[in-house]
Amino acid sequence: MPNREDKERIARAVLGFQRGEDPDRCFRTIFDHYYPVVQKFFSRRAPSPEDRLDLTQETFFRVYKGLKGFRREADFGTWLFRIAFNTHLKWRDRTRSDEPTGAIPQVVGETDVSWEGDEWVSVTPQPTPLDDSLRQERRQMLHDAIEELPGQMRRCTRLRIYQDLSYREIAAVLKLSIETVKVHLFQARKKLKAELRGALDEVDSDQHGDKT
Amino acid sequence: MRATGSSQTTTAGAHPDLERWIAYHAGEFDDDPEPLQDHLASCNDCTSLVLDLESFSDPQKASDQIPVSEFEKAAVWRALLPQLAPVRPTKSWQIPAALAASFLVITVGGWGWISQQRELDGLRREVADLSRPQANVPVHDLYDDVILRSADTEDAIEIPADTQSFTLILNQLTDAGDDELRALILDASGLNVATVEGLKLDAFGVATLGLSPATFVSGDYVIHIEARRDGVWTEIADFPMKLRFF
Repeated sequence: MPNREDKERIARAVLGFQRGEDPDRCFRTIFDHYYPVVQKFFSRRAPSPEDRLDLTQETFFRVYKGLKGFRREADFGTWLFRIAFNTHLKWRDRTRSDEPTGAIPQVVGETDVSWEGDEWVSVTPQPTPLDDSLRQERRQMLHDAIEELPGQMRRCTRLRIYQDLSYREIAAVLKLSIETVKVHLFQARKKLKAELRGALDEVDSDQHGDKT
Repeated sequence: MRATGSSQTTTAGAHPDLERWIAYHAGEFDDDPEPLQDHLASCNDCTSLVLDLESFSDPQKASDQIPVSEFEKAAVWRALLPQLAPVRPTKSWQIPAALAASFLVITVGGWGWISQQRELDGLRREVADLSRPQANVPVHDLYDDVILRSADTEDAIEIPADTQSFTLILNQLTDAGDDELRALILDASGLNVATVEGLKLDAFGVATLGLSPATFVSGDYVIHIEARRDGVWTEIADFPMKLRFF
């Protein structure tokens, strides 16, 4: 939950702005508070630093122009997010880019994974044909095993393995507590280890048998 | 805002729209959230969007994990400032106040203008009245008191009360070649009740004063004639008179 003090500070700045009481100072408070998240939003979506800065500037200009009409009962962060989102869409239309709009999407199931101690570790694919073949087989097995997990455990695992999210981020995305996420991942790890150990041994022995 | 839409497919291929994510993030989603959560588990774009929504809701928390270049931030602010001036909002009371001030200026100015016009009209009427030829305008000869009269003379100058002006002829003034002459009319207490500048003497040493009865009441007066000599007003004659309005 947002810090109450911050929320009140922003609410006061919005109110002051709308009343015309030193609007630039009020707006500077809003700018300082939201600049990091706005520039982060665009850093994932704009290819060049120049575009990122332009879009950040344009977003704040739109915020300044629209702030007088902002309904204070709405969530200010969400309102600002919409502006940033629409600014990005307009910019994308202007530049007529065919590039994907968000972060480069990973195709689910193509990331290889291993364990290091108790942690998930993504493994960079090696280019040898044998490794590729092994990896593809293990990947498919892992994918199948993950799909067999119960709902929330499955989602936590996918977000952790395929999207490399932190516990905090998984919790935010799935509306769970961090503790719940940890429990789901711990249990998933145990299940997957048990499930895959035998299967991987089988695969390994088959591969070695083929080789010999 | 409350979003619904269970009919919409939430697979990795079909992204739910922004409003659905906003509703989901705000906890205002009526339907079963599992299809959306399944989509999140398999879609980087939508996961990023929900995480962004999260960071916009609590920028301070997110900012701790975002490296911010203060130089870039200052540059964005500097570039932004000149754009803001044309769209800068005014105080909520400024527009009514400006209107009220304008109204006041117009009212006061208008009233002043009307008053001025009335005053000018009055003066115009007065000048017109005075300029109109009048029959039987009283004309009286006066002489320097040293020569003929004294202030306590019983021969009062009688002026009809309804007359608009009367004329006094000041006789036997000595023409010393003075450029400037004036007449100060003092009442019995010595108070100056009227001053007539720019007196002119004719070839016979006579000056004429046109006066308005409105300036005077019945009583004794002295017309004090002065000439400007070497920058100093110097007395040259006194004409006592008794006025009686009837």
